[in-house]
Amino acid sequence: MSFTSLKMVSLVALGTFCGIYIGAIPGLSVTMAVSILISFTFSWDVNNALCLMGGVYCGGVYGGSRSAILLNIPGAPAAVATGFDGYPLAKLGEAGIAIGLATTASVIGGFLGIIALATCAPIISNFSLMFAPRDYFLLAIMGILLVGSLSGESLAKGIFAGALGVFLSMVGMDTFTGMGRFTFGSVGLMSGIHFVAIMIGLFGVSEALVQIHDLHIKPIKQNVKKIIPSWRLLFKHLPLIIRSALIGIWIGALPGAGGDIAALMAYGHARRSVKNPSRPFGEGAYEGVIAPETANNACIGGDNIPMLTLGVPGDAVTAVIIGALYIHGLKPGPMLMIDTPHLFWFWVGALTLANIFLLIFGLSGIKIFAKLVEIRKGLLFPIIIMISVVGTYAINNSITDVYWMLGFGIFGYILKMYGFQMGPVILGIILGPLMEDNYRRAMMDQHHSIPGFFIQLVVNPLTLVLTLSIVVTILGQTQFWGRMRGKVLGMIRRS
Amino acid sequence: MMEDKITRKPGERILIWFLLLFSIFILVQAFMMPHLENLSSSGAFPIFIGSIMILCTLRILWKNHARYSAFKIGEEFGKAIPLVFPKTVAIYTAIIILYILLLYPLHFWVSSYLFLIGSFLFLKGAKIIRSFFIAAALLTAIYFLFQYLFRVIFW
Repeated sequence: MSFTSLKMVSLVALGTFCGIYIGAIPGLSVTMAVSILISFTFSWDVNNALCLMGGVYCGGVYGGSRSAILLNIPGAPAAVATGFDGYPLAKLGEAGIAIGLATTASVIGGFLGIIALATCAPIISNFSLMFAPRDYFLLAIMGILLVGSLSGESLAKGIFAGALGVFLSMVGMDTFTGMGRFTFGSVGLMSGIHFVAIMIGLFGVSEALVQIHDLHIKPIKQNVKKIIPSWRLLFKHLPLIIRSALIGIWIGALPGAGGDIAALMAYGHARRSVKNPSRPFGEGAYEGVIAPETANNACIGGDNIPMLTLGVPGDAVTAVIIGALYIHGLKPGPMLMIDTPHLFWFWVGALTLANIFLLIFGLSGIKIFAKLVEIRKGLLFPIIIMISVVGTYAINNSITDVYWMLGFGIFGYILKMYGFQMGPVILGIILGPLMEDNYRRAMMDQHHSIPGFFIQLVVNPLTLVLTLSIVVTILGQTQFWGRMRGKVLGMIRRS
Repeated sequence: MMEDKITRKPGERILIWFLLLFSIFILVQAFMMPHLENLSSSGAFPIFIGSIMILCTLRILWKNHARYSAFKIGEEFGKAIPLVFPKTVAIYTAIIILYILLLYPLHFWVSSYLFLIGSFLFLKGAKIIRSFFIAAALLTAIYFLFQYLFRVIFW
């Protein structure tokens, strides 16, 4: 079925609309929404499910900017940078212009990201056919390492979270030998713990519990007037939009780095490169809203490149979407473009449609939106918990999955309270089988020789690049690296 | 390492020790797997992952040793409970657990109705009469949405 059929268009529109509001309501995240959505849509036709998820994904990434601007509470991590100048703009009575700029910048960024996806993915997909099992093993490690190092306060905690995810993916029957692992004699555990139950627990229940700490915070109402920005304003900032989109696409294409990093990097770039901002940065500069919003939506296209071509998710949301594709019997990776190229183009089409709807919904319905964003958390969280329960039960019609979901919800909450990120856990669960299968294949290729395995890591040019990337990522987090960097920069300044 | 930026929270040391013990347990279980004759056997990768988890927890403990020793274990435990499970969170967690335990004996609709009303009142989302109406309206909407759109079979 074509993505332009009425049913598909309606599903994308519905997904985008819901995504904007989900992204905008503090406490609800895109990852949470997509995780819960998987459990409900897995009995659907894959095209229908993709349309709805594509809409929620695009809408959700953009939606976070609304609450960042209006309430100074980013609805999503990718909108943190938007609040730096968006909220001061709202305080100056220009909330409408800030929302308008965020919407148009997001849409342009989104389109540029999709163009990059449509042009680069087929090339990378062909190139990735040259990847050996050891390269996939390294790519998976790189993805977890990058998420671990960029998303939290500590690399060790990030790596631990990723390893925990990999461990969880190993529970159940070993696909190579059929032997049970970490099942403790339980027949129920032979099929493993369903990753959707873990995802809903980690992103639904645990997030709701974290948010209950801030139950007392009341939103500040903003007066929203003119929303559509002038053409002159847009054209003036077009070079910045293009530069920010390129940053977003590049960051997104790195396995493991997502919209939040892209937005912060684009904001930093805008601060450095814009000589005469409309106002000083941090005090309501238009450029401070345009740059991060362009980058985080352009990042969607970038994120999808490694996801669809290599099967390596760009961030936590794409990890969840990969999970959805697996559920529908698809295997993201180089063979996806060869076996089911129509699905790739269907996905590109759905994302394009979602961007069109983003413009329509983003520039309308502000007053309804302002009411919805102010919804009491005391009403919101019980609904999230109940939907999480229904969603988890719907996977296998099993109450055991609900118990797992609850267990992981509470465990995830405790981990979050002490600075552990949930993104690497999910990435570990999704990448675990890819990592292990390819590690074992690589070992078999070398007849179980450790020296042979390590020699292969440096002999092949492509493998060497991946190995060096991992080494640099780890070294980049050490004090030694920091000291060396300081010394080199000091020498450069002196000279 | 970036651990230097960590804000010290009471209870972190207890959690890390727990995670270390859990990681050791995983490693022991991995070593107990049969047919560990080569590096691509069933237990090889779990050993690798278990070792990484142990190294990470040891790294965190070592790096934060000075900050962790600011509290005695008993004192830390006493401070951690109200931090992680303040009254509202503790009671609400208990409500969620109770709800999930009652799902089977009371059936989804009854337990969810009671859970929603209880939660709205406890979290001050709505007043008594409104809670009854909102919960009923929500469950009706959920019934039609999930039964017909998402085709979920309720129990």
